[in-house]
Amino acid sequence: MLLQELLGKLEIEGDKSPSKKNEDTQHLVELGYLPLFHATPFFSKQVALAKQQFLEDLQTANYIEAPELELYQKIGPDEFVSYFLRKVTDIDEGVVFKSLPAPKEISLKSRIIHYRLDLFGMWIQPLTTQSPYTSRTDVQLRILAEHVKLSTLETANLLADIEKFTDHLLSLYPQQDFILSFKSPNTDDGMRKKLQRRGAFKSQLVDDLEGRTDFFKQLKKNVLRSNDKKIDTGFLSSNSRNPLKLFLLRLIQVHQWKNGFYSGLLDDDMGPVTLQSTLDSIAFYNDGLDGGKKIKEFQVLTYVTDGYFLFNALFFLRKYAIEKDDKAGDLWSNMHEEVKNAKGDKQEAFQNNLEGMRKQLDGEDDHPKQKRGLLARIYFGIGSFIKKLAGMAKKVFKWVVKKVTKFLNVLKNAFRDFFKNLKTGIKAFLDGIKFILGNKTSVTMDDGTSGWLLTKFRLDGDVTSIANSNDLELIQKHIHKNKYMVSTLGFALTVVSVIVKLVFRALNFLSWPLLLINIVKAFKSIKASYQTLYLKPV
Amino acid sequence: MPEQVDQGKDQLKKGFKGLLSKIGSAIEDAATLEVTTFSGNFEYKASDVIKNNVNKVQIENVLKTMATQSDVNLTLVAYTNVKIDSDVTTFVKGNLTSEQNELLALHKDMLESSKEARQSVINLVKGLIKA
Repeated sequence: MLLQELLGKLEIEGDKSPSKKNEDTQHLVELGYLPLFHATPFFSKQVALAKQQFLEDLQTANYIEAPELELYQKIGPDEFVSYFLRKVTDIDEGVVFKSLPAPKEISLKSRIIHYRLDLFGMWIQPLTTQSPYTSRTDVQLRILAEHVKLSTLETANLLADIEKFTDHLLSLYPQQDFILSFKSPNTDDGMRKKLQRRGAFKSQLVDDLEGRTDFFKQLKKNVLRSNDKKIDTGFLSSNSRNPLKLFLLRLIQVHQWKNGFYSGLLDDDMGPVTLQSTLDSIAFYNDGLDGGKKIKEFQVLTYVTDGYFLFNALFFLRKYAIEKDDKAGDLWSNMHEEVKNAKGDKQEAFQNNLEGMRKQLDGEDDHPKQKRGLLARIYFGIGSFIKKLAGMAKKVFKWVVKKVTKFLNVLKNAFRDFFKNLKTGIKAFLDGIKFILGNKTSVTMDDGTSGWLLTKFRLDGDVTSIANSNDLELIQKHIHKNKYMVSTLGFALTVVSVIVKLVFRALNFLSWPLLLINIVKAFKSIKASYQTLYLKPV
Repeated sequence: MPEQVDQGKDQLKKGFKGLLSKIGSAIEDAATLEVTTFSGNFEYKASDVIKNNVNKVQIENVLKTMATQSDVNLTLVAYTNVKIDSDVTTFVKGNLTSEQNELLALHKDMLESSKEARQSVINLVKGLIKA
C-alpha cells in the first residue's frame, strides 16, 4: 500500500464513520434552544441559529473554565460545539454551579437546571426547558432537595453526577427503603412466571438487609407468602405510592437509559420494556464479569401477585449503577491488546462486525421525537459506563467477534463513542499529515466580489501569501482563520506523532482494525493529556 | 482468508514506513523561516477555486493560472527571513498605498503563525524521538 493509498483509505474511513447526526440537535432540543419541530434536516438554518445562541450563552457561562474553552477550540469548531453540548447535558460528569439562576433568568444555567429536572421526572412542563427560572422551578427543586436532604443548589449540582447522587441516597436512607414494589399490569405471563421465585428473593434480601430485620419479617408476613391468597395487596399498593420509592424507580430507569439497556421513554412506568432492560443488565454483568458472583434475575426481582412486583433495588443500585472501578484502565486501550493478540480470522470477524455496527448506527433514525408529550432521546455522555466496560474488554471483543445480539444496544452505545473519536482522530491525523506533506493551504474568499487571499504553509515553517484584494475585512477574516488553523496544527501534529509511535511499536501485528483502535486510543489519550495540561491549576 | 489478512498487514506496514520516510525528508529545511506576501491585480475566479475543491487548491495552480495571464502584475509586498540563530531580515515594498498597508498586517501575522507552526513541527520531531 502506497502512502497516498493509506491516506486515501483513512480519509474514506473517516468519512464513513457514522456522523454524530442528531446528537447536537437532540441536545439543542433538550436545552430548549430548538423547538422539536425544527429538529429535522429541513431546518438546518434554524439548527445553525440555535447553535449560535448556545455558543453566545456559553461565552458568558462562568462555570465553564476558560482553558477548557481554549482547549476545544484547538481541536476544531465542530468538536467544540458538540463537546460543550454534551458536557452541559452530561449527568455523569456534568457542570457544577456556584449559585442558582436569579428569578426570571433565562440563561444556559436555567436551561440546564430545567433539563436535569426533566430527566429526573421533576419538570412539570416537559419540552419547555427554555422557560425562565421561576418559583415553579424552585418548588420542583425543593421536592428533590427534600429527598436528598440538601440545599436546592447542592441538589441541582448533585444531579450532574448520577452515581454520586445514587451513592448519597444509599448512604442517607435505611436499606429497607430500597426494597420497592410497583404494579406492572402489562407484563406477560411468561415474565411473571419466570420471576415468581420468592424463596430465592428472600435469601438475597436477608443477605442485603444483613439479617432478618423487622422490615424483612413484615414483608415475609404480608407479601412474600407462598399462598397468593394470603398476600396483602393493600400493603403493596401503599408501598408503591411512597414518593421517595417512586422517585427511586425513576432513578433506576434513568440509570438503565444512561447505560444503554433501556431505549424507551423516561416516563416512570415500570412496564415490560423497563423490566426487560433490568433483566438484560443483570444478564450483561453475569456474562461479562469473569469470576464475579453471578446472580439470577429472580433473586432481585420477583413477581408477587395481581401485577405487583418486588424489586431489591439495594442490590441493583450498589452492584450495577455505581461505577467505582478506576483501575480497569481504558476500554479502547484494553481492546487494542485483545485485537493485537487475536488470530487473523478473529481480527477479520471483528473488522466485519464493526463495519456492520457502523452501518446500523448510520442507518438508525435517531431524530429526537415526541411521544406522549415526552422526548424520545438517547444518552450520549457515556463516560462512566465506558470506564466500567474497560474491565470487560475481553468479553466486549468476543461479543463483537461472535456478533452477540443480546447486548447490541449496549455495544452500540460504546461503539458510538468509538466511531466519534475515530472520526475526529482521523481528521486530526490527516490534517497533520497534509501539513507534513506540504499540502496545507488556506483560502479566504469574498462572497460578494472576486477577492481572495491564499496562504500556503510548508513543513519547514515557510509561509507564502498571495492576495488579490486589500479589503480590510477579508484580510482580518483570513488572519483569524489562519491563526485558528495554526493553533489546531499543534494538536494535529501531536496526534500524528502518537499514532506513528503506537503503530511502529506494533508494526509486526499491524492490521486495519488495530490501526483504527490505535487512532482512537491515541486521540483519547492526547485529549486527556491536553486537558490535564490546560486545566491544571496555575 | 488469513493469507489475505497477512497481505493487508504487509501493505499497511509499507504505507507507514513510507509515511515515516516522508516525515524524515520533509523536515530537513527547518533552519530558516521565510515569509513572503504578494499582492496583484490578477484574477482567479471563484469558480476556479471551487473547481479545485477549495481546501485542496494548490498555490501552484494559482501561479500556473497567473502565468498564462499576460496582464498579471504580481507585487512583492514584504519578505521576511528568520534564521535559526534569530537573525531577521525583512524587505518591505516602498511607497505602499494605504490599501496595501493592510497587507502588512497580514504579513506580520503570518510571521507569528509560521513561528508557531515551526514550533509544532519541532514538537512533532521531539515526540517521535522520545521513547
